[in-house]
Amino acid sequence: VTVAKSWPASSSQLASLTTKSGWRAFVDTPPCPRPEVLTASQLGALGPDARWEYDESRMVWHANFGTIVTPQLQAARMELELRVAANRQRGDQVRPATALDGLPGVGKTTIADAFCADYDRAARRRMGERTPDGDEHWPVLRIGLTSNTTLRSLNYGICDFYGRPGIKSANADQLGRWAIELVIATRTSVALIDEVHFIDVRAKDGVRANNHLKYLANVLPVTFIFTGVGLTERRYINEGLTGTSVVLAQTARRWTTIRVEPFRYVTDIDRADWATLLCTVEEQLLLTRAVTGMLTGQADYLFERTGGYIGSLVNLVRLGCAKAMLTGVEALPTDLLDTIRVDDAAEGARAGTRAVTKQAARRRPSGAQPKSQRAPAGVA
Amino acid sequence: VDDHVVDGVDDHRDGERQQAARALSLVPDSDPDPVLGDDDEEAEILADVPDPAGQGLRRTFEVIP
Repeated sequence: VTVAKSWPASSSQLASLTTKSGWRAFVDTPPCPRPEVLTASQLGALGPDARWEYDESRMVWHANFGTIVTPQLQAARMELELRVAANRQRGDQVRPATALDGLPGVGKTTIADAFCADYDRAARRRMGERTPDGDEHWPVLRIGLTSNTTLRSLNYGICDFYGRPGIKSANADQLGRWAIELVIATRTSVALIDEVHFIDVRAKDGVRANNHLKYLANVLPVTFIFTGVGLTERRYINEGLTGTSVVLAQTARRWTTIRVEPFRYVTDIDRADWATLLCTVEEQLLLTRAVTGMLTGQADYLFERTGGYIGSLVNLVRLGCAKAMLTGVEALPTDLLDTIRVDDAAEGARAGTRAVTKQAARRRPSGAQPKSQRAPAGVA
Repeated sequence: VDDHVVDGVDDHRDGERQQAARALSLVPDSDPDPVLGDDDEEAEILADVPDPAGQGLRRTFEVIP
């Protein structure tokens, strides 16, 4: 039995992506090994320790099988590639930035991380691990903002990513100077700033942090990629300005926003994409009694449960698989999935998404309705 | 601001997806019956299997490991 109990091999691979060691581990960690699927009788023949190891390796696999290249990811990746490739201006010119904007759970951070990891590997392959001046080469800077981001915490985050010593007692200006030096010395060319909505452009500290980001975009030879929740709705892009003052917002002129939307369930194309996503997830699952169509046959139900948010879907399926293993069901029938609560947002929106799937069912030719898969009573 | 927005879904509707959508809407459901088999049933290999409607291989998105 192939097991993944030792994956990832090093504890640094579990570290946050907001430090250079954690980021490098994320970028360079070999893929999680896929355990084989056992038959029910093979599973039953395992002793307690072997069974624990096998279940452990399946849990690890279900949580780490990889990134699904959805149409949303494909579209965003194409835009990011284009914009990073075209940003070759000299240091004295501003490089336009790109922001992935959307609701929580649509995969913005996953998309940005996947793109930046590819970019990082490719840049080091081409340029090597050292810059021409002999410094470490870090093609990507990645930081995540926290609530009430200030000028100091922004600069601190950048210095902390590079592991700069002595930053705890430094003030915002010192940190800012070091941040610029580090980015330039390490030949960083892409900066991923996650959760940028934590900068409140209506608050004084937020305005200062936002202005500093603009300053960094002016002085650094870097393409900024931002991710954030509801940036357009929060008027972040307009820097909180309204009416005729909107034209004064530099951010709107320098950023291009890529909307990342959840899956929809209105047209035939929407439903085909949803079915394709379910089929993709289905093929990654290692349950002994799984059969073809286990998820695609529950397309309406799964849309109702998740609202088309890939984060909610993956969460529901992952929890469902854990329960299927622990209870011995070894499949994901509707009865079992019904016992799993997902995120509050998906649960709260369920009535609305049920109406959407009912409408879809009415438009479908007779006999073409996906059905739920009820297990015999008492199994789940 | 709206001029800056790129809708990731709308821009990428290619012929392949439309074809899959057509197949989906025309196909009666022939999904297998409830998923529980008997203990000795062999686990089914899910990759590269024909779709339930026999319209060719089931469509999947690429997965980056």
